[in-house]
Amino acid sequence: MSGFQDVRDVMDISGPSESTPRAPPLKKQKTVEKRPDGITRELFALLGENPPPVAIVENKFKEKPKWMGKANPWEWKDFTNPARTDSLILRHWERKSKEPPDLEYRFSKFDVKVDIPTYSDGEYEILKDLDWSREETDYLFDLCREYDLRFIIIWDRYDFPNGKSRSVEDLKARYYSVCRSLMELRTPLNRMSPEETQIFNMLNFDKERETSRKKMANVLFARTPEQVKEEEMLLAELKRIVTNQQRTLEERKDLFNRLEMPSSQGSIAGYTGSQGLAALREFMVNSSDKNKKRKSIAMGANTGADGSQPSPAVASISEKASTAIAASQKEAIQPKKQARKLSGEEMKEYGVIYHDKLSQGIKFRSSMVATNVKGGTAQKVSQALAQLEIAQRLTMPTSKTIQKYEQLQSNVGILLDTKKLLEKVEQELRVLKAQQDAAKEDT
Amino acid sequence: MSHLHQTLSSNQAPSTVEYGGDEISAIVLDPGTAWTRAGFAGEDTPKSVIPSDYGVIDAVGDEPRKLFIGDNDVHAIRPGMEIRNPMSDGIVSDWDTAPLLWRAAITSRLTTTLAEHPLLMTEPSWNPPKNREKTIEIAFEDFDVPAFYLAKSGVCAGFASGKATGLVIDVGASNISITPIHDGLVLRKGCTRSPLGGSFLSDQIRAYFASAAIPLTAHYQVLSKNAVEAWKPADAVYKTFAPGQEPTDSYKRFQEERVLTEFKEYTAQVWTGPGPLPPSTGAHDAATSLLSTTGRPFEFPDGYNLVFNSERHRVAEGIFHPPSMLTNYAGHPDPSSTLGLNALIHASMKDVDIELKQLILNNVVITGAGSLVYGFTDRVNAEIAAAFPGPRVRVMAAGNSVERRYAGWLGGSILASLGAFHQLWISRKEYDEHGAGIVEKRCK
Ligand SMILES: Nc1ncnc2c1ncn2[C@@H]1O[C@H](COP(=O)(O)OP(=O)(O)O)[C@@H](O)[C@H]1O
Repeated sequence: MSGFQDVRDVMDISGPSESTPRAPPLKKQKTVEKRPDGITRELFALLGENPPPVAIVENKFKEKPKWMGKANPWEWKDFTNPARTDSLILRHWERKSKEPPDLEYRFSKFDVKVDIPTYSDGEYEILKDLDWSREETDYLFDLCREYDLRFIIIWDRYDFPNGKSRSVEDLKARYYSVCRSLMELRTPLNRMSPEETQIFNMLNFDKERETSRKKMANVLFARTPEQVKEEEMLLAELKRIVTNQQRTLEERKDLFNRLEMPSSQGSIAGYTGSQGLAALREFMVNSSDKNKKRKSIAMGANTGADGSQPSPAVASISEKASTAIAASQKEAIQPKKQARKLSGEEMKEYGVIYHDKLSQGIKFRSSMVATNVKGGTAQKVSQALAQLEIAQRLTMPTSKTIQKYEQLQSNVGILLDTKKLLEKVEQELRVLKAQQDAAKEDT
Repeated sequence: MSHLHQTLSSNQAPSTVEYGGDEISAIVLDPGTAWTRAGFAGEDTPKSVIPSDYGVIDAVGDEPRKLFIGDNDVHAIRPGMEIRNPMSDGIVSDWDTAPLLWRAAITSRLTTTLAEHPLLMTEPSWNPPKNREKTIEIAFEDFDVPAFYLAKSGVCAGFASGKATGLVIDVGASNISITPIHDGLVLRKGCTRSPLGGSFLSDQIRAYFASAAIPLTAHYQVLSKNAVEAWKPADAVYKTFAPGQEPTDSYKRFQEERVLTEFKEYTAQVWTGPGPLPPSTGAHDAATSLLSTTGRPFEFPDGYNLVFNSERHRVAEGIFHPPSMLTNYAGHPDPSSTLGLNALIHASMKDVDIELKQLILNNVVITGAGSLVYGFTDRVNAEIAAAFPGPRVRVMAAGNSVERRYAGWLGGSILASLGAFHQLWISRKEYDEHGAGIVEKRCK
């Protein structure tokens, strides 16, 4: 009924309207139960609070929307587009309105142009380039204007009669150098505003760099499937190494924690007695030691050694350490005095030992065994030594035995490394052989 | 009820700036080799699609030449009616008839007052300037349109998939064409094409039927048929013609082409690749077991039916690997010098700037009815991925066959209904002022 009237309204046909004015839309009573149609009330009640498990298809048309009032008419209307130079009249549907229509066509705002500079004959004298004729430069600038500086398109369409073949970079370099020179010509550098200087600097096109960058990009693009595969493999390898490195770092940290000293500040009186020393040792072995095996070895060493008696070596170290502290403290106050270096015999004679690095605090010589081997090998070395039933800690750690011990350690390390390398090479050999065989089969 | 709130009330004008549309009742015409498609801009399918093939009975004595255009006319059996096509190699070659077809496509279903509607036409990227000028002349002189524009069909097909930058692979009847586009403009240096389109595939199937002694009948030849088992001779009554009343050879071929298109649609399949289909090795076809596909049946109009195995792959292989094409017929393309689809893509990408290569390969659009053969897009995908292992490749093809068929038209329809496009039309006034040469300047 009213549908017909709507059509009339839209088409703006003022014919004899329906005799009765349209009744205002009936206010519907809001029902509490929103029971969908295709389902009986009893069944619906069974569902309770839950929504129906399946969508119930209502075999019903969409309700007619309740429009407010009369439909507005549309009009087939002429319009012009200010973005055009030729006042072409096109027509489109427009909402009929009493107000004067917008004068500006609303899509003309999308008509934006890039500002391309122009130059006079006089100015061109400065812009001269041996490689470019005036005509070709003009041609380039026309294309820049036509294609809004999209150089890839400009290059694609570039066809200067009898011209050289030019790369995208050639075109860019010429365009930007002309713009730069023009800018400088019109406003000398020292009178440019900061923004202008910024623009001026941006116009600096580095052709060489751009060319080589593209060359590299091309190489990257032209990778063969094998190269891509290899790259993927290398990346996986890198990832593996990085995660391993993390682990090694953690191990090392653990090691350092193990070596952490109780603070040397404060009285050492508590450690002077044999009981105290034993307690200190206990403390050091236990502190942050999560490795049960090491602990047991250490304890073994403990029982093996003459536990109750502090060894002279230990005592000498503690003495030395305290003198070292004294020395370093003195050092801080006065410039280092060059001590007379003792000869080998003298050193032996007086029982003097020089240490390369001595940190603060008390140390056992047995714990000063330099770890010449690092990382994973260190663990393997200690394993190997354990296998050979050589104690981890020396019972009598004199400087000589320690030297020997260190040597032994590093030799074992070297051997182990060599063994590992050998295994790796053999494995690689096997893989390559297998690949070779596979390739042979393939062909 | 919430959906009602989304519906605009009749008092409220839709905000056109939101979708950028401003419909000016323009007509969009996409003249292809197989079909000529026309419709109003802003709609999603062309209202009027007529075969580009037309029937003609040449003038005899006083009788002027008679044309039969459109589906209803061209399929009728008429003695002496030749079937011709005004296009060759995807562009107009018969300028006397092409405009008649265009006019018929528009006036039969859209409007009879051409002078009231701006006209947007599509053209292939290789359309020469002469042809373009001729087209604009016809639009203004013959059709008397108020405004005109000539858009590249590759760009339009890109728009139809929402791409302004990408690689458009269009498989039409006469060609496969590859058009790299950027920012809605064709990259001319990368445009390539080969004659291995839909008609080529038809020819290959025809050649295969001939070599395997499979009789090809057209629908018009069969009066009635009885069902027969596979491989059994047909049991049908064929139409007979009195001497002098037979349809022409071109008519027969045209009708057979419809059967071949059915074969392409239901039975032919492109080998998955990448790499060429392994060669057939006689009776124990190694390829068959390799393909491990089940055969697919096809029934000819006379009821003769059989199951095709590896042959249905082999007929399509020439498109990708020309040396594999069947050559037992006259006028086949040269298998050694014609570029297969892979080589074509490669040639297209060669001159694309490295900055764009990645982006373009990430937006490969496949369009044209010829691409609807089973497995076509998968093979293209596999071939591109194998040829360019580094970059990420994404191949898009409308799953909807209507959209695939009409992508060129649809893009034109979108373009011609955009508010921002209306400044690009070539107006009558501009044409009068500058002449036909203006098309080169304005339709880039
Ligand atoms: N479903 C289909 N499967 C394969 N090929 C088809 C299918 N439908 C049509 N074709 C073929 O596609 C070609 C027509 O493609 P089209 O894109 O319409 O060409 P044009 O743009 O040149 O008019 C014809 O050769 C036809 O046989």
